[in-house]
Amino acid sequence: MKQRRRLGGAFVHELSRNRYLYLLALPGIAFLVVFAYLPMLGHLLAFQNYRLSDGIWGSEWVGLKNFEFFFNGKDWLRVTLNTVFLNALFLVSGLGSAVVLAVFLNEVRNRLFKRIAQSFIFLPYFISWLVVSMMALTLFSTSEGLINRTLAAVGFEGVDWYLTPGVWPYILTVISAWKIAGYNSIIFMAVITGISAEYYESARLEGASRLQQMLYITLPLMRPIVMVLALLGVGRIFYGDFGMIYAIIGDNGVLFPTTDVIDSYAYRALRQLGNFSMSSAVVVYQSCMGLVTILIFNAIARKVDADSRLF
Amino acid sequence: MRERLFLVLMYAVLIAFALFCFIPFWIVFINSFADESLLQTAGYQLLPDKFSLQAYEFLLSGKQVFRSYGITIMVTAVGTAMGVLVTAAYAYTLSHRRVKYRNILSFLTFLTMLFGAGLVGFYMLIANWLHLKDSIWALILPYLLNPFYAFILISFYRTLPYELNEAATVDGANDFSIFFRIIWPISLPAIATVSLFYALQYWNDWYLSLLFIDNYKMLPLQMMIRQLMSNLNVMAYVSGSQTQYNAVVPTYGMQLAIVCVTIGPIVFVYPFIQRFFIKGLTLGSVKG
Amino acid sequence: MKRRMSAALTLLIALVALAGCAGKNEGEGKPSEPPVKAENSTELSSNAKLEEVTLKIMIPGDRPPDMDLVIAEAEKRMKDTINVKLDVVFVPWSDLAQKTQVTLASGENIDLIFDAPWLHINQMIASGFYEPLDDLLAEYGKTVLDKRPQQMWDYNKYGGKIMAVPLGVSYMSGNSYILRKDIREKLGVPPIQTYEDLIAFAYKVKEQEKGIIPMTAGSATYSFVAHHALNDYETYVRPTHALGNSLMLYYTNNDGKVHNLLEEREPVGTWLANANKWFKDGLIFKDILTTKDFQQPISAGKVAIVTNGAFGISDFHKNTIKNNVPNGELETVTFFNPDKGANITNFKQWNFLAIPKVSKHKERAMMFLNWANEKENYDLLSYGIEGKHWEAVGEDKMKNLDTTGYYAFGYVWLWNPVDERTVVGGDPKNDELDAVLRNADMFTTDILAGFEFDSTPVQNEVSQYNIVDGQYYTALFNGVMDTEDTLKKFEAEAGPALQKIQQELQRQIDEFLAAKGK
Repeated sequence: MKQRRRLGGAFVHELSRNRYLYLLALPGIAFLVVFAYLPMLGHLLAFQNYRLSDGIWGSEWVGLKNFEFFFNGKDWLRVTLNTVFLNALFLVSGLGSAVVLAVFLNEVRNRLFKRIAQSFIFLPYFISWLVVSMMALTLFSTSEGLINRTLAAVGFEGVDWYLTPGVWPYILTVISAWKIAGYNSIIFMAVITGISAEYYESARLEGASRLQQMLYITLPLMRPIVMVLALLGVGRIFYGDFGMIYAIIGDNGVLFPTTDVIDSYAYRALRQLGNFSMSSAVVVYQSCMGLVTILIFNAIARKVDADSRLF
Repeated sequence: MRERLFLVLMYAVLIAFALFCFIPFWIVFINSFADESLLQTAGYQLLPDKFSLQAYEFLLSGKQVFRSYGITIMVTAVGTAMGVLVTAAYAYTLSHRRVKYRNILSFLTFLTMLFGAGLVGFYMLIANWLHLKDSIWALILPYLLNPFYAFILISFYRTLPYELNEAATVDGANDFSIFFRIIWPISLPAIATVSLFYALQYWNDWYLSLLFIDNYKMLPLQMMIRQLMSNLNVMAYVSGSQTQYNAVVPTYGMQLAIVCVTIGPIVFVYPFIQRFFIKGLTLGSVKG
Repeated sequence: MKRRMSAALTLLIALVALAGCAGKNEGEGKPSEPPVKAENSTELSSNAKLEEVTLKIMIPGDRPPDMDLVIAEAEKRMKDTINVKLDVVFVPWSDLAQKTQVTLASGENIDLIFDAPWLHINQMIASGFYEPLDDLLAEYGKTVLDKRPQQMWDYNKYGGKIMAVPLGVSYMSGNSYILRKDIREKLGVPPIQTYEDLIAFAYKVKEQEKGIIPMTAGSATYSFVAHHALNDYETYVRPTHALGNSLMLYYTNNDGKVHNLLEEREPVGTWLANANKWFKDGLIFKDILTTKDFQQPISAGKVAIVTNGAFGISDFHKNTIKNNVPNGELETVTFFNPDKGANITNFKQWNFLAIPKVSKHKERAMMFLNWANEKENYDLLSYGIEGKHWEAVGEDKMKNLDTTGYYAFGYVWLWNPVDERTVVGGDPKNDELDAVLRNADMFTTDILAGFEFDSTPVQNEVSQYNIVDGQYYTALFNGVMDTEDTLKKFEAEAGPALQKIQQELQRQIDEFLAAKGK
């Protein structure tokens, strides 16, 4: 009895001690409860045989039956591995290139150059995946793609790019980095802006070169934000980039062995079935796997650097 | 000497990447003004030789365009303002040392990124329970707190020296005024970044309007475009269709024009935001 | 700093207030008018004092610019009788499945909704979303019934009931091959008569016309082999009810037996091997799998032959080829047999309009459909305002005047074979063939007409099959992948699933035929 009151008391005490802070967070909390947690109940569909007439609470519970279609095929492991592998490539290349860009741009003294370069690298973000896929066609098309034509001009034979699965993880990685590097670099540039000029001052006075300043001041101070973004990416590593992959690979079955991800796989499987419960099941799978992964990696991050943890 | 070499390398990398990003965009831009038959026969070119404004005409004809632009601008403005406010306040609390439950809250926030809202649940919440169908709030509210942006701000706030808070508390300020008077001004680069991202999120969205807006007068820009393109792609193939387009429908050109029309306003807004990324706002205030 | 904050806050509040007001104004429906008291209540005495009702209709497409005009005219005509206001919601084709599903699943009030077998009509019916229409049709929908032949009603039932109004004008799609007439004439090839001629032409193009690739095709039904199967008048190889348009399981002739391509290879096996040979010989467009719009290459002047799902060429393509290739001209050749009884059909339609169970105005919805199926109203909603958008040519033909303001999209909510007009100026030969497609009596009735396959017992197998299908089918049926190899892969990955589906399908068919035999 006494202990419970103390616990309850601790909670109230914390709330009242930091009342303004919790008040600040209140709209956000309310939002999350209403718009994020309430709809999550919809995931219950994954374990039901949902019928409108019965509603969510009345529909029959079927346990894990909706997951069967996914795990019975032999491909679930392959697409899971593809998803993780591709996402890992995208994450590393996307963040890595953004870090390099942000750090380099920071060193540029000429304001005009800086602004123009910043704007240019941001442009790919706006190009829709549909247009990107058309551009990819322009480059890689067997009959008239730019690459094959160039190869022919110098005497080499063209490659059937769209019939060769092996190259696509790397092509996709380059495309993904191209598209997102500018966007990510904005975040990093904002962080770099916040670094006190004094650090650089004192380093310069001690004779450090620009490269050294970059390595020992800029990069370490960027570590927290890079880690946070990395962790965020790791949590979503089981969610494939459906928009990109469907636009570029589409229904070209020849390329599936290396580029098929959980999302596109499920999309094809359920295309004509229109079964909500089965598509919910796939999402539950992706979320649970992501949860396990992030718990592991967040624990690692906590040990490495207290500021870099997600939670 | 090594330093010079390094500088050259740096500039080379920057220029190369900038070109790598600019050239495809240039192709999109210039080919959106290309004649459709040229696009269909010759594909995308660096410099098309036949030009036409057809794609833009098709896309932007009709008064629907002005309405859609209006809706989108309003949603973006209100959404961004509210979103940034809510998110910044929330992130500040979650980054504050004194808040005991901040890690739990962070975890719960992150969880929502993992377990996205189920489609049916989400729809029923907004349409049936909150009765927001055909309301502009259906386009604004669901995106008010984007966990990704919240974490960016949390990470940023963690880098601010706690001495600021302590100094202010000694002066008798409560957390509210600390946040608005002290923290907010010095976090402008991060705020600017997140504002940009929210603006882009609202500007580009069509998903919310697909689900919740049935009134055609309230369709935002992206949705209007999506409907147009989707319909055109089908019209060409419906057998027995009585549709006769007397002119050639510039479908290829339109895909490109859409990108330009979408990015157009951003081009005007971005330079204003860029200011914040260029060094100038430092933490000189700490010394005092 | 303080001033700036308060200014910003004021601005924010003002914006919010504005948004709220704007939202409300846009969100409100049209103010409801007081019920109209009709003066002439002779014929529709009981309907004269009908309260005004707004019907919400959800159909795919894009709203035509003059939709408001047409709706205003329609509402004017309906004012004194059924007094219906129309709220038509258009959904982009690409998002149709998701939007209709989520709308229905949430129980939102819709009065009329589009659905189709290729969309999700079977699932929606199985989930209990639609209202059976037999009684409503009998009482309020006489015209709807009359305008469609008996076969269309009999063979488009679900579970023995009419669950949605079939929207169609024909019982089979046309099929043909589009080819470059100018190239054919240039190479001195006489008009194509047989399939062999077509392939010979393709080889000629390969040899003599260097810049042009002989042929390309689309996916599924539009792939080379599947398209050729449409002209199979010897064995009548046809897709089954279980796997959409896939020929991995198929029917032959008209005996209700299900065949499995993995076990009974012929005649499809030979066709597949042929297609593979053509691909190896360089006759087929190498990027056939990545082209998103399979008929674009021909109108861009890159290929000489392509499969086509109709007898004629749409004006869209005619105009585009003229634009892209200076002397380009397209023609079609078909191997369709127009003789009476030569073609088998099960009379299944591809588009339907249903009344959801949750609708609060089911009777009024049916009354509206009835009104819409009267000739002048049909003309109005289908083609627009006469004199402005179109012009009548006799009773059953028409001419387009202004298609930018309004264009025909009757196939998503109105189509009936009686009132649908044909556009003048088409190729008379194609018009003849189209007339055959529209005449129910020219067809042999499929023995399985009226049969519906319930895929629930084999749902997992079907999705397993779909996965493998997505990977290999189009490549296989277009000759891109080696026939033997791919069939082996099919066997390895989907063999057991296919067998199970085949058995279940055959079982349900045998039940159906036995019941029919009575």
